[in-house]
Amino acid sequence: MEKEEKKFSSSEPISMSQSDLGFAKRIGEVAGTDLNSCLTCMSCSGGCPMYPYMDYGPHGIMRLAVLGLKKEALTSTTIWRCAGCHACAAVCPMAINIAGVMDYLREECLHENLPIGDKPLFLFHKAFLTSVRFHGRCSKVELMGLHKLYTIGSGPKAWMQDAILGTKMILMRKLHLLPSRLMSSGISQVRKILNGTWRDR
Amino acid sequence: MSEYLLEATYFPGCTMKTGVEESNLPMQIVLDKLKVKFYELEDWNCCGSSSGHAVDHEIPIGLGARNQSKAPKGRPIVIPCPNCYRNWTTSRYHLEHEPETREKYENKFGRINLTDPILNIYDLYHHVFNLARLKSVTFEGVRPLKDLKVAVYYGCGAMYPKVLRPVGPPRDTVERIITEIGGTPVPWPYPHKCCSAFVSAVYPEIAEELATLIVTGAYETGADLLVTTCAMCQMNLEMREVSARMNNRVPILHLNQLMALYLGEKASDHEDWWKYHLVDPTPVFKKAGLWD
Repeated sequence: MEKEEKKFSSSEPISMSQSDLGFAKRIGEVAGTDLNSCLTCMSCSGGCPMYPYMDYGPHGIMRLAVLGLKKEALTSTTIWRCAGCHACAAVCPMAINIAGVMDYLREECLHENLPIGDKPLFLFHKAFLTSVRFHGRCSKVELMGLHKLYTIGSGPKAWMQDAILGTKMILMRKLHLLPSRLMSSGISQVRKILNGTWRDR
Repeated sequence: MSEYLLEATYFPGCTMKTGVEESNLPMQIVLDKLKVKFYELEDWNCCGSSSGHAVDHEIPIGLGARNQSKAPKGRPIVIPCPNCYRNWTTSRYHLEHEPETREKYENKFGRINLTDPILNIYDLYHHVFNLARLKSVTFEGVRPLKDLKVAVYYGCGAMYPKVLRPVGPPRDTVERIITEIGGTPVPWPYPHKCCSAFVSAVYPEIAEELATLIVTGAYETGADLLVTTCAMCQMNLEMREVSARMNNRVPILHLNQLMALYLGEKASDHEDWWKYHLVDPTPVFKKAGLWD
């Protein structure tokens, strides 16, 4: 994974003709925070462990949202590379729930059927929810197997990634091979919760 | 009166249920000695982890509502996994503040338990130590972990949006437990740095970089070991320490293991715990005189 050049450092002027000015307000309603209170102090980007690998960084996404540049925000790699660790939300001096905003933007990206900034990470979420759909609980080994299956097109490096260490951990019984399951009535309840929530790709 | 100091509902979470025996086994011993009884939550489901809220905000609320509808009244709910804990508190926040959401899920699953407190595993240890002081109960065969320098690693599990935890991340919660059991918590730079969580499974090189940063930070402040309450962080850091081929490795232990050693267990009796570790912690115990 290469460290990314930040997109806001380009000298191009920002084009506002496609701007959607109600965007920040709608995010605020769902995520429960007021984005216009953002000071652009960059505390969030300073604390973010994934910042070097993002194209805008959390503070850049806040700016895009306030400017109403919806398409740029929803197709960025930043929203998918966010690890959801809430370091940004915990340090924000204006108490903006930044990780919650990222959650909303990912959801919106799936609903609007826009291109996904980082496909392998989305496929990880998909593999996780598929595992939960099967058993009602998640099985780590099955999750990794499913993820390898979904990313089979990305070449031998992805197939062999962590294969030796993973096998060693299964043999040590640090990871159990068999999943733990719910009762069948519970599984159908969990499937009902998952159905009709997120839009699968 | 009950023979137990505390009875609690226990939600293990997917990670602790399938694997992590090196933390489950000492936890059983610790609970027996602290006179705490755990009843596993009946037919619990996954909390949604980091992927549920990543694709739809309804998923953790719905999954959490089903779990909370299973919790019996009158017992606190103990959750060892920080990520499960955050999803539970998020879910409870929405169910408490949005009557229409609560109504929707109560129609599906029946009464939802919103009154009993949700405790983290370190909240539980604080609670038990406090109860023990009040009732002047003493624990027998206690052996303080003298000369053990511990770097406490919370990971991102300690970070919350400000509506859920206005005071900010904890800075002395586990440290106080470590002091209570005789160890020395060292001040070090990265107690709240995320270990990259699920990104580790997709891009190992990011996780290797972060693990190198975290473990080197602990090594350079002279810590003998890192201690964490999150089973996922433990596994991730240990794996990446090995796969990044670091020279200065620091063993990464669970809080439960240190608690068991404090309550009189000998490290030499428990090869079955240490064999699960990719970085061998036994030299540390031999040096600190906890081996036998």
